[in-house]
Amino acid sequence: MAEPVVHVSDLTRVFKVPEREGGLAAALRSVVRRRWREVRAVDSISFDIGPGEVVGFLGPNGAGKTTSLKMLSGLLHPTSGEAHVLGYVPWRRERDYLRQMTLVMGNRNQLQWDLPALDSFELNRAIYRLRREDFLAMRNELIALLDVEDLVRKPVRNLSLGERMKVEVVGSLLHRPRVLFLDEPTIGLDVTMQKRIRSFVAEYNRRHGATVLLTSHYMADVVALCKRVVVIHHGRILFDGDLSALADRFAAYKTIEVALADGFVSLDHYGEVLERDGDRVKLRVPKAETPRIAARVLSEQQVADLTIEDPPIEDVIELVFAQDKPS
Amino acid sequence: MSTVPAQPQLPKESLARSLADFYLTMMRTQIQSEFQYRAATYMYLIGMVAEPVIYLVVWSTIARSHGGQIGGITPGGFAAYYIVWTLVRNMNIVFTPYGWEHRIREGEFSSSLIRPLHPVHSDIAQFAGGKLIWVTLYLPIAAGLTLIFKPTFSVSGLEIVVFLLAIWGAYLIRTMLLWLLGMISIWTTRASAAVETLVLTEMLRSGRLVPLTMMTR
Repeated sequence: MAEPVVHVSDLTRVFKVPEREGGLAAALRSVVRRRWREVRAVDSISFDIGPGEVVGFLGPNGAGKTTSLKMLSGLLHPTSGEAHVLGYVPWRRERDYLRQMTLVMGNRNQLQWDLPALDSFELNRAIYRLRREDFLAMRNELIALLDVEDLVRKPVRNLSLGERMKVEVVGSLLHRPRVLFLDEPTIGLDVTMQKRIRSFVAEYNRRHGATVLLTSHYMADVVALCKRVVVIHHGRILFDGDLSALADRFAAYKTIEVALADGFVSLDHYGEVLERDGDRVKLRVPKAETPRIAARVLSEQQVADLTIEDPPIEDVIELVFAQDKPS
Repeated sequence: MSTVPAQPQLPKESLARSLADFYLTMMRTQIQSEFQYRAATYMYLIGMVAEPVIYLVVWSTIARSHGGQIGGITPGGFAAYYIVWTLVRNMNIVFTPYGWEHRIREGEFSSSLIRPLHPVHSDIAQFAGGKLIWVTLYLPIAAGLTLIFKPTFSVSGLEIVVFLLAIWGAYLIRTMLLWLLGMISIWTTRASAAVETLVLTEMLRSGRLVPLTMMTR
């Protein structure tokens, strides 16, 4: 296997946070005696990401995704453990490293608010010390890819959220980063805009061979972009592998959708009926039993059509988190 | 097997030259931003001028009531002092801990930290760009004040050169000082409390209320 671009080993980050009960008395007590609690935001996580891989980093709010990305982009020091990205220790924040990565955070504005994005791009050229010919070539390529020719000439404050996110992405990639940390890049965007950003990331990865670590609550992002996912919960990794293997491992059932040729026949005895719409019935059946039950339905009923599917990825992820609930 | 794509090439120019390029670009960008709010910038300046004009009128009145001067300073001397003081004051407006609190609370500092350039350069260059506009806009105001209050200046060419260098040096020193105070925001959410103390000390000790030469007496 090629040398990993991202190598993480036993990475841990503990935050010390003050806490107190609500109310005036507790507020007064906390003036005299402050109580602290340790929160293990990231707890001994380890994984490697190879060159050009696009990996989905999944977890509920507070799972440790953003903290991990902040450590990998050099914004936070870990409490313990080690990480190397492109051979650099991220939190040493060497200039050479920062020139080769980017962190895009959804809903965060890095552009000059009052000016057209073109002016911010020019500023990024100077910050990243880009050769003018490289800068112009990359800028024009990205503008064309995201189809934002008109938008980059308007003051950023006049752009909608989705438009701003597109020009934000252009600004973040002008230096042609080799590693992309994308933290909820499609948050708050409408479906069309999400799709646009998604296909753009895929195209950028294809053209430039960049390694991408993506967090998103929209499973459509993950399904479209990531062959591999790392699932994190309570700071610990619960799963690291192919997206397709996630359902195999965590979902104990599959769904069989049957279109009946002879109308309203009860199928209760084959499995749990999830929904019924006219002559279409959706059944939930144990995974191991699926081939046998499907064969029975086909042989015993007048079937017009039959499809077997894994449960939706959202349901699988929910199952993964449910299995890790603290007792 | 996939391979890591090539690292983007650096330009042939030196780091110092790239830094100069950044400063010029950032200053240009800031000037453009200031142009977006021309009226606001001018009103802000007029507001800034109101304070020293009040001190000037008060001290000039006191000087006249004391036979034409107080502490060895004539009304013309006070006029010269406060017209120049306003310029110095403008030059010493820098990124404050209030701004630090905001940028950290809103997570805006993260985007500065992931860039391959220390964020202090952005703040220095950004405010320096703003100053070029403010000073330019202040010049007609200063001319107006000169016509009204008739200041008495007696400075040599060399002193003017030293003054111009000194106010940019003062700008850098104050930027560093307030950066240090501002960075407290990384540990506590209310670093501006520290700056309140500084502002009070500056108000009393920096020659704002009372000209510096009179304070020594």
